[in-house]
Amino acid sequence: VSPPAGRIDRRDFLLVGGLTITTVAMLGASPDGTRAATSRTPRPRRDITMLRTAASLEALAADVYGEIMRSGLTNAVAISHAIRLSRDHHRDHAALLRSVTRESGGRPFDEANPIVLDAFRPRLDALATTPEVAQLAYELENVLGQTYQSFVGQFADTSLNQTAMAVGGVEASHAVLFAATLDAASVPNALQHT
Amino acid sequence: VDAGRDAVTRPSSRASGGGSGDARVAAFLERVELAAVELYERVLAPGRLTRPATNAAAAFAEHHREHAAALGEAAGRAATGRTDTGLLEDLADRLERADDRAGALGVLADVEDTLSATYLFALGILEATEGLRLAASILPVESQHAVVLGRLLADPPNDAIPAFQVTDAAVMPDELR
Repeated sequence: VSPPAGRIDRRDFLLVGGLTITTVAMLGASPDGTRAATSRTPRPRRDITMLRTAASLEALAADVYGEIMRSGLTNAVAISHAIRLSRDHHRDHAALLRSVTRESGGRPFDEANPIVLDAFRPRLDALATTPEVAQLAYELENVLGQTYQSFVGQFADTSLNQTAMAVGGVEASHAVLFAATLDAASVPNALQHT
Repeated sequence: VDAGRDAVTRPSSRASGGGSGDARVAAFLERVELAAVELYERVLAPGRLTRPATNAAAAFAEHHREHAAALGEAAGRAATGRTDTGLLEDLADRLERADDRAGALGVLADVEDTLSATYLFALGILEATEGLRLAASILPVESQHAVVLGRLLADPPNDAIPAFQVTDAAVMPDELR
């Protein structure tokens, strides 16, 4: 089932402007940190690519929520608290992922994923109501959670599976906070899908 | 960040035997899920919860049945299909002593926290991609259950959602204790 027009699903992260995440949204692990990864990226370089990408998505979420907080669109107490809590968590997540990237021999990525941010920008700029904020946040958290889930099993360093889901489970929890302000099921399925 | 680092750096005991080790882990998780189902069924006795809480608990109990079925399938011949309430003994005792709706709901929230932690622990000992992916598809759902139950208890979100999932509350197979 395709998501409603204009909505986000993980595929939007993976297919931004018709290009796959391995050439667009994934952030390479070459020494200068700018080379795009490919599916043939040798491990553990692939681990570093996933860590850098995750950090960039966390920074993106923190930046998006920061922008929303400054916009004055979150006057309702429930969503205001949810946005603030999620932003703080995403900052913590980004810090952890940058630290693990560094320890893995990679160069941490400190900024919001530029490709995904560009894809988000029109919708972010068009936000006008609190329900629209809640909907975007709900979708963003689901995309993040599913992205971490999709990384599990791909790491050469298997301890990173735990790292990914120590964060990914929290993103799924954030989604519940936003679902509560929308007409959306809090826990729609027995298994989270990617 | 420190909590996240704990989850990263906590040493993981590795089940021996590769694939067969994974089957044992899956069988263990199946028993934990069936124990959760049993706890939910006790709470779903008429009059123990409000209607919204009853609806949520019934849905979550069904989720746990589905988890148990998926894990049983993954465990193959190692699956037991049996509930082992000893795995959640402390929570079962607390449930027996809970004398109001909030107390019962609080125990269920703790059950879910325990399950989330257990899956995170399992992600450190599972080896095959299939098992890892199954655990990774269940863990977020348990985390979401805990948040919903916390909201029914009117817990502040900061209390219900930590910055990082950790393994502190995990139950472990006897051989890994």
